[in-house]
Order: sequence, then structure tokens, then C-alpha cells
Amino acid sequence: MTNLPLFPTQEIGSLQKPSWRVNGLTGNASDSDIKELKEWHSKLKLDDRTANVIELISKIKKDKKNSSLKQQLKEESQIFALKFLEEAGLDIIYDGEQTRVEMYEDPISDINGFEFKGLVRSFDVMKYRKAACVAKPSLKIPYHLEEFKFLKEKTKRELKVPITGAYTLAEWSYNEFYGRKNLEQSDIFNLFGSEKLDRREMAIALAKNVIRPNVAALVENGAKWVQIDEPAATTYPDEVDLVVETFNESVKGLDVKASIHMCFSDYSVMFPAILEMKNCYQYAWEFANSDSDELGADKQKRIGYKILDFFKDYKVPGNIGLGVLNVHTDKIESPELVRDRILYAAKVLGKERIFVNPDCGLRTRRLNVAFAKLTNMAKGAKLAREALK
Amino acid sequence: MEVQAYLNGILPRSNNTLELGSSWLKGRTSREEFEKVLRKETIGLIELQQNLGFDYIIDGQLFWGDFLRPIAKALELHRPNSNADENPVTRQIYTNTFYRKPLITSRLKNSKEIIDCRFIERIKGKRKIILPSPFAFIYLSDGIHRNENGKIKNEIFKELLVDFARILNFEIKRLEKDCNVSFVQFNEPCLAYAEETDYFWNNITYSLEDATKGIKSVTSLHIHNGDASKFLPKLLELPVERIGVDAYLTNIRKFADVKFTKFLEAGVINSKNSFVEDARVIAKYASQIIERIKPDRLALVPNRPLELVPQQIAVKKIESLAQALKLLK
Repeated sequence: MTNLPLFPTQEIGSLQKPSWRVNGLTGNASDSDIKELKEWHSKLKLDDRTANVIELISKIKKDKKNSSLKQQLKEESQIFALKFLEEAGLDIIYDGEQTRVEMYEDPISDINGFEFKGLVRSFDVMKYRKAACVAKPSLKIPYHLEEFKFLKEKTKRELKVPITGAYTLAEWSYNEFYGRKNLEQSDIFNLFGSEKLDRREMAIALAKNVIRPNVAALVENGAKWVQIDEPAATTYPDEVDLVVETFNESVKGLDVKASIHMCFSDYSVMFPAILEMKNCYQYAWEFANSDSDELGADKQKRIGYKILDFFKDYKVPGNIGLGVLNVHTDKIESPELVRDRILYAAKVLGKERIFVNPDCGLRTRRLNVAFAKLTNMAKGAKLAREALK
Repeated sequence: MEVQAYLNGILPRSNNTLELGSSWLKGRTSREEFEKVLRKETIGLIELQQNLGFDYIIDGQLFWGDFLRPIAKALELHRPNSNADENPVTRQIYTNTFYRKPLITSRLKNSKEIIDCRFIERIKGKRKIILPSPFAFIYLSDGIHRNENGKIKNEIFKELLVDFARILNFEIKRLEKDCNVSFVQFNEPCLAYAEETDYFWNNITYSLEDATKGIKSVTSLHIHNGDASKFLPKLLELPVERIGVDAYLTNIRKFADVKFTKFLEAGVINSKNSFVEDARVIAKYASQIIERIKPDRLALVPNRPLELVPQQIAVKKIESLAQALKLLK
């Protein structure tokens, strides 16, 4: 990797979509949306694009079915997100998933063999649209390719492409295809164990027929780094070997840095299976969610970072994407708190292995909160570098 | 043998209500408007169960943030200067649902009411409530019973089991008195997968004894997230009248090898799949259980809380369950 400082800062995934983009696409942008657009563009030094965006919004209002105009507005939103992350001071960026509906629904829409069934709640008022696998999965189109091709022309910073992993797509889907014979099973004594076998078949099919061709298309077009998102990785502790197998299958033989992101899980169950992951460049996990807000780089204060010991004890190679921002609260972490989280991790694993990021995507936080958090994250990384000078 | 049917966990919110919740989160809908819809929906789900003739009726817990939250709130189990709605978000094993992990900072005591009775009181029929088992609640919490690497400190864990069981006992008696509750189900998502289960088995038993001491209600322990058959035959000695299992994750063939002296709640409606079970097949399952396992009594239930499927699918599954019951009668 070139030109990256010690403790490089990176995004993990999603950012909230600005209201001018959301309402603009439906032709319902209000004066307050335009005001917000102007304020943010000014803050991000995007003033030269403001008039164009306002014009696009105005044209869509008059011609709500014009998909070309809508595509242009989405691209403005991508540029906005890139600049948002650059101005916050991040070294490795993407577009906050501005063209994606959500990390599950979006890819599933571009995969043959799935049918949406409705919304389910994950906790509090969080929800997602859930689909069932009803036929053998195959790729309609390499679904992140256009997004990547657009972005690589718009920034000089390193791009890391987030891709929802095969295991998560399988685990978050209902299975009406591979399990069909078991679903129609009329002997209750034959139900035991069938779900697991069916899920394995679906996950492997997704890795081979969907994720790998997707990654291959990105690599062919210049992508250097893909982040396989596997938030479901530890759902079944006795299935983590399948997570490893699908990761390896997804990037097999491809010349790309491949990392894995996981969150809100009992990570201990990943050990020792994690040692079988082939050439995993980075493990980006959530930590801050379980940490204390007190300052200090010692173990007593950094209670959310216990799992780092597992990396050390099991001698897991590769880098760590250290979650230092809790994405489920509006509280803004101070640069000093970020610094101490980094310094603690550096003490446990060595400073060269630590990358710095939010715990997860920031889509549930308002843009001003996300920006303040990310800015402080970059400042905290700087403080950590200075502390180790 | 008379076969019963009822529900056993948080029910799903409708697509419309879930969208409204997002809208509220983004500040585009008021809390009042959101809760008004949630109230209406809760009553609708109660009426659905009543109309279908279920033996016991639940309120669906649509207002619960997660299956531990009202308890964490009542017991104030959170970080200093915070609240239970800000506790760490944690994935529930075997599902893509989450809970906010309660933080236990001292021995447990409670003087507040835990369960909101306003919807239970709307139930016309036998009222059933669902609470976490003592083991599940303490196991899923963080705090003084775990060391810095998350490992359990055995002695304090045992003490907390006793504390929590007593709190539950007090609350159940209140619910019997104030809300006419006649069925208490302990939700047990941890027992089947936790490595520590065997070590704590006696304490789990004592905690259930404490929790049920002097109560009049029917009691059950619904075990999901794993194979309950591995605890045979001691499973049948637990101090609850009914044992619930997930028929998809439990090797119930083994149940046929013992004299099943409990009321068996067979989780045959699969909450992890959108496929709606045929009522005739469910009825057939019941017959197979009766013939081969010969339990003391039998109830047909979902394997896990139905919140894992969209509401419109859950309703079809519930109707299929009721239809199966009719076929059996």
C-alpha cells in the first residue's frame, strides 16, 4: 500500500442519504432540503456543483419519470459522500453506499432466484426487507461495477468496495428452494438437522455463482480492495467454518486485497476457524459498541476490545480494522477517546496492523452527527500517531 | 389426547408499522402517531388469536424493544449516566435480531412493576405472558458475573440467578393478582447452546423452583436455538409443567426413547422460514408425536418467536396452526 499514514482511517459502509437526494428523487424536495444542500455543499467545498444539483431537482419535479435525471442526481449524491469522507479526513473511502437501498435488499434485487417476502424487525425500530431463495441463485449483472467505475474517476484516495458476503445473504434469506424437500417433509422425525444442510448448499452456491463473479468483474475493472461484509458470521457458532469456506470461495484466485467486516457478534466463536481464511487482508470488527467512554489505554478502561487478545493468542495474521465509533448513539466520541482506543490496540497487536474505522456503517446517524464522529476519528488517529512519535 | 395450540414469543410488526417506525426514527413521524398504530395492531393480533380459538392468548409484546428490554429498564441495568435503551447492541444467536445487552453492576433487586399490563387486560380468554428464564437473562447480560475476558464467574453467576428468579416470582404473582395471568412461559434461548449449561444445571433447576414458588399459573420452559434432546432425561425433571422445543433443531427421535412425563410443546411452525406449513402436515406431525413419543400432553407452537417472519406470513402460519388443531379435533 502506498502513501498511507500509520493508523490509516477508513469508512466501513453506509452513510445516511441526504434529504435532497431522497426527496429530490421523488420530486418532493422542499425548501429546507435545498437549504440543507447549500449548507453541506458549502461546508464540503462543493459550491461549484450546487446550481447543477438544484437544477436537477427542479427538472425531476417536472418530469418525475425521467430515469436519466434521477441517475444524475444519484451520482451527485455519490460525489457528495466521497467529498464528505474526504473532508472528514479519511484515507480509504467509498461512497457511503449512496446508490444502494440497503446491504441485503440491494444485492438480492440483482440476483436471480430470490423473491421478497416483506419487512422484519431486527431490534427497536430497525427493519429490513427479507427475501426467500426460490430457485438456484445466479448473478443478473455484476451489481457494484457501475458504481465503482464512476467512483474511481472521482477521487485520488484509495477505494475499498463493500460487498455483502455469501453467508450473510444466505443466512438472512428464507430458504424455499434448497430446503424444498424438507419443507414438504411429512415425517416430523426427519426435520432435525435439515435446515443446516440446506443453508450450506445455498451459501456455497451464492459464493460461487454470485459473489465471486461480482468480485472478478470489479478486479477486472481496477478494484484493488474488496470488503466482504459478513455481519451474520457468528449467527450459528457451529457454522463458522462455512463463513470461512464462503469467504475463500468468493475471492479464490483473484488478485485483490480481500478483507472481512463483522459486527455486533460474539467474535470468540470465530477462533480458531479464522486461521483457515486465506489471505484475509483485514478483519474490520465492531468494538466501541461495548467499550467504556472513559479515557485510558489500559485493559480496564478498554473493556470493548477484549477480543484483540484472541488475535494475539491465536497468532492470526493480517490487519485489524478497529471500530472506534459507536454507530448506535449520537454521542460524539472525543479525539482523545479515539486515540486511547487506538493506542490500546497498538499495544496489544503492534501499531503497523491497526486501521481505524467506525464500528459499522453510519446510515442510522444524521449526517451532522456522522460528520462530527468521523472528523474526531481522524483527529484521534492523528493524536495516536503523535503519541507514538 | 387433547392437543392445544398457542403462541410463544414476540409477534412481528406489520410492514406499515415498521415503515412508520423508521419514519419516527428520522423525525418524520411523531412518537404518538407511531404508538397509536402499534396499539391498534396489538389489539388486532390479540383478536386474531381469540377468533382462532387458541387455548392461551399473548399480547404479542409489540412495544418491547427486544425480549429483555422492559426488564433491563425496570431493574436499571445500564451504564452510569445512561439508560437501557443505550446498552450495547448485541446479535441474538441463531437469528438476525438484536438485543441491548443489560449491564449488571451489583446484586439484583427490584421494586418496580416490570410488565405493562394494559394489553394483557384486553385479552378475553386465558392470559399468557412470556418472560426470559433466569438463566437466559443472566447469561445474556454483562457485568459483575463475567471477568474481563467475558468468562463467567461461577459464584456470582449463581447468586444472580437466585436474585433474578425471586424478582420474576414477585412479578408473576403481581401479574396473577392484577392481570389474571394464568400461564407463564420462560423463554430459554441459551440453554441449548451455552457451554456452561451442564455445570449450572442444578442452579438452573433451583432458579426455576424459586421463580415458580407459590404461583398458580401453568408454567413452561420453551427451549430454542439448539438441540434440547441432549439434556434428556434430566430435562424432564425441571420444575415446570411444560417443556417446549424447536422441532427443527431438536433431535426429537430421542424423546421416543424415554418416558416423556411432561406436557410437550412441539415447535412445529418454523419461524425461520417463509414457507407456510400445511395444516394437514402439522396435524400429521401431532399424530406422529402422540404415537411415538407418547407425551403426557401435547401443544403445537412455533419453534421460535414469530417476529422472524413478516407479519402477513406470520398470520398465515398462525391460521395454519389453528386449522391443524381443528383437523385434530
